[in-house]
Amino acid sequence: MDTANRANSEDQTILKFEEVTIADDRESGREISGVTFGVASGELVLIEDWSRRFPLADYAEGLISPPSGTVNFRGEDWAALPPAAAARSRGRIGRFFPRSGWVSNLNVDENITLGLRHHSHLPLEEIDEEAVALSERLNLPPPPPIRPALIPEADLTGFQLVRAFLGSPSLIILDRFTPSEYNEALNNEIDRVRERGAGVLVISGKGDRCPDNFSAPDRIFRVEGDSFQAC
Amino acid sequence: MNIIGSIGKYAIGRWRYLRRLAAVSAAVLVNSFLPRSWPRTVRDVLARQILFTGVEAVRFISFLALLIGISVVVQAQLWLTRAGQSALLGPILVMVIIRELGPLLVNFVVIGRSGTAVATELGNMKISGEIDLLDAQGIDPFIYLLLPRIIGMAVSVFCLTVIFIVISFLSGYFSGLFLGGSPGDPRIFITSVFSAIRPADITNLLLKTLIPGFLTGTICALEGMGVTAAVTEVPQATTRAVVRSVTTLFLISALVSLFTYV
Repeated sequence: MDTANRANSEDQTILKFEEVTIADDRESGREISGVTFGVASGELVLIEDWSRRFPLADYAEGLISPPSGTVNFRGEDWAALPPAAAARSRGRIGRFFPRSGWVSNLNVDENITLGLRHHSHLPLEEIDEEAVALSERLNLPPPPPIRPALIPEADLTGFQLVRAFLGSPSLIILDRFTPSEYNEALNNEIDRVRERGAGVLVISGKGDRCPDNFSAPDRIFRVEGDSFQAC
Repeated sequence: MNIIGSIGKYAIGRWRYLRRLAAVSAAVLVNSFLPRSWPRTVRDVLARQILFTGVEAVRFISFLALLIGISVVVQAQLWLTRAGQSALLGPILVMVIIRELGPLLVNFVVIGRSGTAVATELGNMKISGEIDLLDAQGIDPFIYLLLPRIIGMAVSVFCLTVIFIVISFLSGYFSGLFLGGSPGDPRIFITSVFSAIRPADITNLLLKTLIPGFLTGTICALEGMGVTAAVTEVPQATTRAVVRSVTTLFLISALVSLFTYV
């Protein structure tokens, strides 16, 4: 994305953390305050959370309210949104989940299209076609109509990406994404959504270094010890 | 803690539970009338719930109704005929099967078959983080998981009870013929049954099927969603769900009978 477009897109902040205090979800009393960063339209922001203990993705989605500070999505404070409006806003976010991210009593294809079927009125055929096309672009087979428990974990990881990118979300969060999952097809898809104007937030853990040919982040931050700092 | 304290703690716990049950029930009722509560994904869940709770139980309910028809209707026919009171056949069948036995037995089957499944399924979803997963995708777990299951269960109980009543009467009549009884002309039999049905019986039937079915769904869903930490809590929650649902069923049945017929 060229400089001029990027300058315009920075005015269109999709996600904004403003003086947020983030709390360790496993160790009470451990907090980092003053976390401030944003993800603008078309930007890719990488956060290296080496402690792996701060639920940054949950804060970004408004699932957890921070002890202090505000988290805005598309200009609206999550804490100020009524539940129904917050749910609709979350429908505009595509997310990759680090642990098992599947509803076990739905088939994989139903899991992938569940969010889009719930939040939109698009015809089912159109949603299924988009899912298949997206799978092809990511070098994956079409989403299978079988339970997630019957699919190898490695394949499920790929299908999680299909779900995250499906439906033209405004923000894509790749939470605890490991290096083995990076590939050129994913890079191309990330570039494609950035060109469309979506923001991408990648949260990686210690040792999860992005490979050299990964889409270049616009900004990198690191959570280490008791600090959150720009790199 | 002394006895008074124990009683007080128990009473407070029960009150809090009833308050939670009432709140969730009211929320389900209110939201079920809002169009925005029924996107196609929720309608899919409703259809699946009615399929599992209602359609897939038809065979078992029919078999049960067949047996009940044989035992109850045949006995009524035999003894009423001997006593020269065949005209009372209709009212007695309505009283026994439509007012009491039908709703009770069907509710029992639904509690054992579907109530346990709902509590177990939601409990496992809670433990495995699937509820949080739905939330993260902007899908309200209350609207997507609870609402269609509770409504589906209430609708299924009513429909299954109607099927039960029809089949038990039919099986009773034909069993009487087969066993050499004198059930009389089928038209007379049907007429005596229908003429014995009062508006209060229809009200009774609706209340004894929809309310217990609704509360069974709510109780089982609450118990499943109340699981917090370990997978070992799930069977405990399921057992509690069954006990509370059965207790509620008998309570509702007795109260409805009192208010309808007294």
